[in-house]
Amino acid sequence: MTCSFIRLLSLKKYSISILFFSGLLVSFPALASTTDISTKSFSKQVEMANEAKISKELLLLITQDALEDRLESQQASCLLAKLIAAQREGLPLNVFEEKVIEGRAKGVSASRICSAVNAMLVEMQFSKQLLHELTGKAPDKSIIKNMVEVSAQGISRAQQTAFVTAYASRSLKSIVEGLKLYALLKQAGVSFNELQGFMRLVMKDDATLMRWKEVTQLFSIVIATGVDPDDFITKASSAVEAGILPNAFARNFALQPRSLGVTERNSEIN
Amino acid sequence: MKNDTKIEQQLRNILSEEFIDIDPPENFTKNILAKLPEVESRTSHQSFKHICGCMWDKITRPITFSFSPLQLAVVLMVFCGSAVVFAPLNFSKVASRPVTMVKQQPVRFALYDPEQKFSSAVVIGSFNKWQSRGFEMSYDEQQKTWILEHELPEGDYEYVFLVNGESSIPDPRALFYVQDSFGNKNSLIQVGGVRHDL
Repeated sequence: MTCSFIRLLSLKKYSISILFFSGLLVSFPALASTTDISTKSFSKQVEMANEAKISKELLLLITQDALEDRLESQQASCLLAKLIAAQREGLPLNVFEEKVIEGRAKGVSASRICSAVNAMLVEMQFSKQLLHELTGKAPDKSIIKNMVEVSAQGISRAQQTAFVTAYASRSLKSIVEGLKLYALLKQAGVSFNELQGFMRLVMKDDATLMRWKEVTQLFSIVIATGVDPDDFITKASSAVEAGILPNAFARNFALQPRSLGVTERNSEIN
Repeated sequence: MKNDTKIEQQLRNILSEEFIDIDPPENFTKNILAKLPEVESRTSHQSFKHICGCMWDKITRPITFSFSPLQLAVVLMVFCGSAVVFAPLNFSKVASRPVTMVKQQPVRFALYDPEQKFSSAVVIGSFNKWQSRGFEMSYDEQQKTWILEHELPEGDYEYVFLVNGESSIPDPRALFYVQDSFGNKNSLIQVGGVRHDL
């Protein structure tokens, strides 16, 4: 009974995907009649995208846009080609998929979405190569995703390379966490020297990094009260050096004694 | 019955007297063995079948246990006792196992619009897959601000305000931003941690 039910389910699933792709294939002639671009190449790319396990939701979205003239098939082909390339190189595909959806939601033109996806692809390839050189093995997709986020926060390739090289002895996860903290504080206006000093102290060990990685949240609250970013980081550096816990440090700013994302009890244990 | 034993005894006596000094013929044992039918030696496959057959016989043969009511009572008491002692331990282990629940935190989005230039405002971001449904803001006349209060799981999210259904603008009050790769910025919100603890 159960076996036949499972078989029925898998048949249903199979039928849905047959229906989906039949729909796509049937739609190609209509696409060809409305555009001058070769349908053959686009249909082939849809097939390749499906084989590359690009989400059906996104595939349907792109094909539908192409059909309804919201997206030229040349642009659609460009998007599919980038997604296929990302999948083949073992890059986190969901980041690209989300970027396409974000672009559409914001009403960004297809050509700009394609350029953005291409820029992300290049950036990810760089991050992957950089981390591969450091560890000798291909980095995890989540690590690459975090590196791209760091890059979007305004950290240049040179800064990424310098940071990774400076803390090469640390684990990849710690390096990425540290880099995220560095990027946010830099963006918030902390000067280079103050930031370097703070990062050196925080990157001392994993426990210190985990305690202080959410200092940006405290920072955003304190800065809103008119405190200078450098003053804040100087005091934070002194606190790290003196072994003062983040929750105790928060009291210096007349804030309620709470932890920095870690409960007070856990913070003291650490 | 008694006659049979008598005859047997008489025959034994006669035969023992008659053949007592006679030796068996030459090659007697050899000849008898030669006349016996040859038994084929078992192949490994046959041996295996034989062993299996024996084992099958052993495990399928019914076994009879015999015990007194007192013995049965003792066994039942030991079984029930161990169940009472160990079951709560196992249950407490299961109960103490951490339950992975996504912690939701209240978040307040606000867009100041003193002249009410915008006809509508929606929050779109990585937390809602950039879809506007369910994240519409409402205008507060007193505060002259578009407001949305929503609960989100802990994490870092990018977001913008979509105004008049077409233009996206980053949150002017946000401290952190992220380049959106389209030449604009997304605001960054950190849900959970110190902001929500303070």
